Amino acid sequence: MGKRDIALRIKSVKETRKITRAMYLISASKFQKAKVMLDNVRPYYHKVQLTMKDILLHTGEVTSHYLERKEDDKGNKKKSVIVVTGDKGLCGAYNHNVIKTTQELIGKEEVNLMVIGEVGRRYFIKKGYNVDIEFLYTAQNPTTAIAGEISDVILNAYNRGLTDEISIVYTEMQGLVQKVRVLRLLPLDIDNFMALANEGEEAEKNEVIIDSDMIYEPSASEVFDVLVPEYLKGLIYSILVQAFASEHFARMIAMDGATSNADKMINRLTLEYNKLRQASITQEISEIVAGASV
Amino acid sequence: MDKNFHLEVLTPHRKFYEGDVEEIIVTITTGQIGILKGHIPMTAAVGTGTLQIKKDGQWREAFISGGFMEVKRDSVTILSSAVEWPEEIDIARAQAAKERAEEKLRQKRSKQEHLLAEAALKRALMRLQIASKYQKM
Repeated sequence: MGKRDIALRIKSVKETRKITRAMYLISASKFQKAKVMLDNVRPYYHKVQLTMKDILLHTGEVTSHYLERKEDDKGNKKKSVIVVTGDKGLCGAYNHNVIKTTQELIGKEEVNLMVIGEVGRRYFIKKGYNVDIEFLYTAQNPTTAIAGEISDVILNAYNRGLTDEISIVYTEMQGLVQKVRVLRLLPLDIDNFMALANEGEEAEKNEVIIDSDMIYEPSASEVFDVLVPEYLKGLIYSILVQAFASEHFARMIAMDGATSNADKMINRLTLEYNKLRQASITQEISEIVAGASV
Repeated sequence: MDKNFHLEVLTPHRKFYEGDVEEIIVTITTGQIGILKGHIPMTAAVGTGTLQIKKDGQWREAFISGGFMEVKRDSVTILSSAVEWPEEIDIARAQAAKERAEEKLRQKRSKQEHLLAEAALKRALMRLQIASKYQKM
């Protein structure tokens, strides 16, 4: 490579570094915002699950269609999976991990996919999966209103028998580590609650007092009809916030890495450029000296 | 004897209230219900209305809408999507929501949309009512 080529290369790497640095800063500020939301939602998220677990423990005799799987005559179940990915790439393995987990979950089954986030949607449509095209939500700016809409949509589908089982695949922040998680939303999964609630930091997790006199106002089935949508709404909002924070955290790390790689590359190229420059100067001088001594 | 019990009110956006209180009155879907220490364990769906909290002999009132409540022998947990103190209520926003809901009710919409608009109107009216009771307009 000549001097000129290297100079051009340095210039282009510098341009790229500008972009990655800007993306890093954007993600960092979005992550800060998400972190505040996450800190606010976390107590609610844990408490909702603990309370739900508590209530389910006490509902020995209560039957609700939210609690049991429905099967049709042939014993088939129509499954749906909600996948939460990002709207953009350039965030390390974030999208890839979610997509991979989803594919493992689906296997060869016929599953109806509801995808939140552009990256996932494009991928699954391209691969010919059965994607619900009317389910259009982005992963940006999670709000309780959007969570409410999503839970309305899935409850509607569930209640009308369009689907018998709904799971969700999303990324959760655990400290500074991200973990892809699969959660069954409907019907309610008691075992899953136990496992989840036990991960909460709260000390009361182990107390299991079966209070058989638990009463429901006005009636168990009516309470469930309100409880389940409210629970889903809270849960989905928490999940969206978790995913939003994870995405920006992943992008922050990826872009930070890219920026420092660019720095390294610029250093290496500059060194090479200076060596070449020095070599050409030395050569010139020796040519002049050689010419003068004749 | 200690008459207080532990109350925790959480929303997705913040911890609204946590502390020991004497009595609460909550609006649930079937009306208002008062809870003292030692109430029988109960689960109820929270409606749109008020949450009144009595602590040290003083009553405080807040707006509440949606969610559910779990009553245990010595504690109460309320998980709701919206709880606001009167001074936090955004009157302009509630007024706008009220007009929007009324406009929707005037149009002929599907039953579901009608119900949604009715619920929105109820929330807006409740907010305005509580706000006007405590805030100087």
